[in-house]
Amino acid sequence: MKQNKWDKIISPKRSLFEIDFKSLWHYRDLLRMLVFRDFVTYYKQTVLGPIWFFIQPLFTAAINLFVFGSLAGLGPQGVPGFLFYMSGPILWQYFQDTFTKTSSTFIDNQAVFGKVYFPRLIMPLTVLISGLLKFGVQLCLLFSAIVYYYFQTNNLSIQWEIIYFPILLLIIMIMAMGFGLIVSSLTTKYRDLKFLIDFAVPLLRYITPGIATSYIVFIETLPKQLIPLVKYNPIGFIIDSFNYMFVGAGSFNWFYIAYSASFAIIVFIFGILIFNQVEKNFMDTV
Amino acid sequence: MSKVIEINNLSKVYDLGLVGTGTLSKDLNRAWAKLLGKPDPYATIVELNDRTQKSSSNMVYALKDINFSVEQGEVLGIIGQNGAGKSTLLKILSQITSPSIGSIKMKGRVASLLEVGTGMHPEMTARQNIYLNGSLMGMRRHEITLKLDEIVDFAGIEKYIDTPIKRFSSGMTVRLGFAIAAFLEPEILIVDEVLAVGDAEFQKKAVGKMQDVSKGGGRTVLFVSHNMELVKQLCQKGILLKNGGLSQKGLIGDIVNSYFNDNTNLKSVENKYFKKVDLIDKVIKTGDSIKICLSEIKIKIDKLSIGVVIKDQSDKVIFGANTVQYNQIYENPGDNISIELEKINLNPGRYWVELYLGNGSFDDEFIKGALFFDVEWSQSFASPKKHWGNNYYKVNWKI
Repeated sequence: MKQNKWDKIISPKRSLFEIDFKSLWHYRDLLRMLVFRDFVTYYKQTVLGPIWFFIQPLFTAAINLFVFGSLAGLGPQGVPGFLFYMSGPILWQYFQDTFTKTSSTFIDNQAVFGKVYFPRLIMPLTVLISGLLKFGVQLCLLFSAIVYYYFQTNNLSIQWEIIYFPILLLIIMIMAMGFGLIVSSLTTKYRDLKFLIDFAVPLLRYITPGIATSYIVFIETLPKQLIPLVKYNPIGFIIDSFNYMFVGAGSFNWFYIAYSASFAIIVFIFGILIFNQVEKNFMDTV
Repeated sequence: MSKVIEINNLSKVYDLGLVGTGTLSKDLNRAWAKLLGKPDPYATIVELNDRTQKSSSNMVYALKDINFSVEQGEVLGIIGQNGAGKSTLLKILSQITSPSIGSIKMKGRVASLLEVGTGMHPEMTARQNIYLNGSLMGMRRHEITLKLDEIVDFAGIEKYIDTPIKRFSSGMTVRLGFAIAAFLEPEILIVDEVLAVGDAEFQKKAVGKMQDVSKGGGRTVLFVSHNMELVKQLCQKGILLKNGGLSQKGLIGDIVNSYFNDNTNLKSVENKYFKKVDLIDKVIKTGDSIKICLSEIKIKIDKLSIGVVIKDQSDKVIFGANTVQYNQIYENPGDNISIELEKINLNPGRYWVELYLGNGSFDDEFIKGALFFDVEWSQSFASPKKHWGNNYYKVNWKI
């Protein structure tokens, strides 16, 4: 009788699938405040402020257009190169930011985690949503560019498949978070991973279709030995489909998307489970 | 009264040395046990945490077999030396890390104040930080809105509510942080040594707030501090941790006394100048005198100066005198020296004597934590039922 009166029982055991969704929901205001914090403080004491949100994709697009389009001649056929080199990198940047920032969850928040308890998953979720805001702003920029080119060339690059865009976004979100959670859990013990991630993830964009050139061109140009690396790259399909939806250069294939989705779900579930195990004792190892 | 916290067989094991440098088989074995939900198989060969001894095993108990329960509305002081396991206990209670063995059951919302102002962002305004810090401690947004005025008022920052806190003085930041936690109104509040910061006025305010919280609201407070005066003032009961084990629990007065007794390891009182240093009477009555004897001088000295200090249980100096002050010095001191202090007008309790020996210009020998005497009421006068403070003065009420 007395047993069930306790609100909270702290014990060493925690089963693999015991995730405290109830307290996660209770702390939703914290998530909101943390996202707000990220947004408000990100460009504090900068001259240009939020304009930086636009500068990044514009410059990336211009440089990619020069390097991949003009120098390497990999630019897409029939669509404005500038649009193509803006859309892919925007989505990739969201993936990369979420992945790398999530993977340092425990190290970055060591001070806070050591002093107060709250569901640790709040932190990666904050990264995911803060990044989403930035991504949303940049997406608006992409739309303006699309509208601009529509008036220039009288040719709307958006395809009707754009209605499936939320699915793509969801896949890339859970994939980035899943990878990030796995790495963050491992970095509490093995810091090497952090260094690997910091330099390897930005490099990964060069073997991801949809950034330098579209999937089909990529497969054609690549040396034979490297093809599998690109062919089964789950992020590549998403970015290629994204390019197709917005710019009209790429491919849209449900089979590939399903492949990426299942990949993302597995990574995500695995990430959540391992994170959940590590969070309760990481203070002792970090 | 009902129990709000119950701690059963709580232990926490730490692996000394580098993490992950154990053998692979050990790591795998442990992982397998963990997977099956069994306790760590290597936790059985662990030893108690005694800092002073070199450990032979590389696993150590930061906490071992802790059992106690806390009633609702109780203010419990947790005391112990550095490394006794206080922080580990608080960390487990506030779910920052999990126990290796045993369990804790708790009733109601728990808030821990291991540090004030955790997670505050310097670029954000005080108002934004109240919301951020409050939600970090599990408050809902509407709850914070309700308490906002009280928090601001308590912290005394009305004027700066929309100023980024990087412009605040550190004292203001601390006040703000404590104010948020104080109005969080959890059923169980865990407070680490956070009151050490802030000015005297604020400390008073904070202590008052904590007393209100326990008395008025029937809330439970766990309080850790090295400031024994504060602990005595705030808590009714206490527990004493020693090398990771629970050494004593009971009324706070007794706990604080045994803490001080533990603190002083009575080594044989031998020093550079004298072979033996002692007090003649270890138990005296109020009004008696004490006599300190230094005997069997070891080296030949020309000049010797002596200082005597009496301290109370909380290490506060209540008396001090030295030869220099009286324009005196021992020239070519003999084999035995005795110092007498007359009419010790002290209330009952234990008092410590410290000696400072030197050559007249500086002291080079300190005898601390070795000599003590107990004072009892004298039969020769009517002793009061209760007493406060250290000093005794005879009072004529003239009724």
